[in-house]
Amino acid sequence: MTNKALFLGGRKGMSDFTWKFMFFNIPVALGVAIAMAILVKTYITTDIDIQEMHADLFAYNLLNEKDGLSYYDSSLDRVYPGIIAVSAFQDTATLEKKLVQRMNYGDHILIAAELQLFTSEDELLGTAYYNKEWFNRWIVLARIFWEGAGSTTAYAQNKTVLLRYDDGTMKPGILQLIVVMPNS
Amino acid sequence: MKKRGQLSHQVIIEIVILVLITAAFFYFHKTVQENTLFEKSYAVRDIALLMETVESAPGEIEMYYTQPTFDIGKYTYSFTDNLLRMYENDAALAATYYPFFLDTAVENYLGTLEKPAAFVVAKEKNMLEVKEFGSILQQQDKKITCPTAASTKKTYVSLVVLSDDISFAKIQNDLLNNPKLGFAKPAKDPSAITEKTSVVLVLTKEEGNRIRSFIPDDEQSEKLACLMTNNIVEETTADPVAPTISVDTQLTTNTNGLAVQLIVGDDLLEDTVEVSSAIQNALEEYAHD
Repeated sequence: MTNKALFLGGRKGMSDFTWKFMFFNIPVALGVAIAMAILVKTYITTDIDIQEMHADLFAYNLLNEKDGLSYYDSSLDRVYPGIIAVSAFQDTATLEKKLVQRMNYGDHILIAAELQLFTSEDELLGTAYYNKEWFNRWIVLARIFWEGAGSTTAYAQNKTVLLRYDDGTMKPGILQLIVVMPNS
Repeated sequence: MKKRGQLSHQVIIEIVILVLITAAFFYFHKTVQENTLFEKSYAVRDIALLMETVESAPGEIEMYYTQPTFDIGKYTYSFTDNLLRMYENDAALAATYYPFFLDTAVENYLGTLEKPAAFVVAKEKNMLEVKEFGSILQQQDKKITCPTAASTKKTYVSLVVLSDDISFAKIQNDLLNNPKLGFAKPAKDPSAITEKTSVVLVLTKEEGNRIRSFIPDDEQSEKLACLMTNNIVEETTADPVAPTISVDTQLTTNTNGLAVQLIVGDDLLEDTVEVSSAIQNALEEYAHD
């Protein structure tokens, strides 16, 4: 008997060894392929991260949108970007519905936001949401330790605005936005 | 106990997996090599964000999308189901995409633009529309390659312009009477050619729209002939031919100067102003290089 046959334990041993080797073959091939993909992706830029810019742009779009967050005079057909009707934040259901209609992502929801309106003395006048259901889901993920794919990122920003009361008077105020977006 | 067929199935599965992995890698490699992966990824985001900005503009707006950084006409753009899909040829399944929002209060006319030259996104009269704009013009660079050597025969003292055809009369006069070129001794007589003549230009006519030239075995004359040819190509619809070396005595006498025989197609002489200015510009370009 040769040394090789001894090691494999004869014909039966050789057959078992072949099967064991075959069992590991596919995972090893897949492992090598994944490793190559990771290596290539490490050296070649294929992803462009515009998340923060998109969140920022979204905030500006909210303020500029006709019949959106900013005060809109329907008789003049004119929007006053940066002037927010306080009454809109007292009937948030109507405002939220209007925002989703004006900025509708269909089946590909990409952004959710919480909008809080404050006076300059930090008095909260109202809280409205854009895609409330998704905001409540995503904000939890944004606050956990995991920051990669499958998680979300929240971007908070304050905008100085003018508050327009029903009697036509205007006072400075702050619009606090928390925009949440999925990471992948 | 192992049967012969069992191993065959395993091998087939492995081959299928390997083929799939190889195909995926080849596709990835091709897109990276052609630099379209990054380009599409960038453009799809750029356009989607611009769509949102146009929709959010408080008034009416028209935005013309042209991009100098990549060829817009290489791709197809599909604006459907709140997604901008961008792909090459008919590879819609391999499209790069990015979502954008739609204002449901605005009537939208969005569809697919196949390889547009450029496009315009317009929000007017409560309508949002993306439509093709412009056309693709393929311009072929017909210019010939000129010698890169610096000009060394810049002393413009005497110029001799010879021509055997009346149609060159205006060009001949323009050249001889142009004070900008600075020739002190202009002439149109072959006997005026000496060893020291600065520039000899022979103008000959032939049928068609070609522009050819003959030169002595001199790199500087080749450079001048090349500049003249390219300037004429730029101004007219001429088909250029690279300069050819000749031993004609009219071209080889002024060994210290430049000599060019230009053979101009009669189609190009319908408007001699363009040919005349092209030749004068070439003389100036040569002197200032």
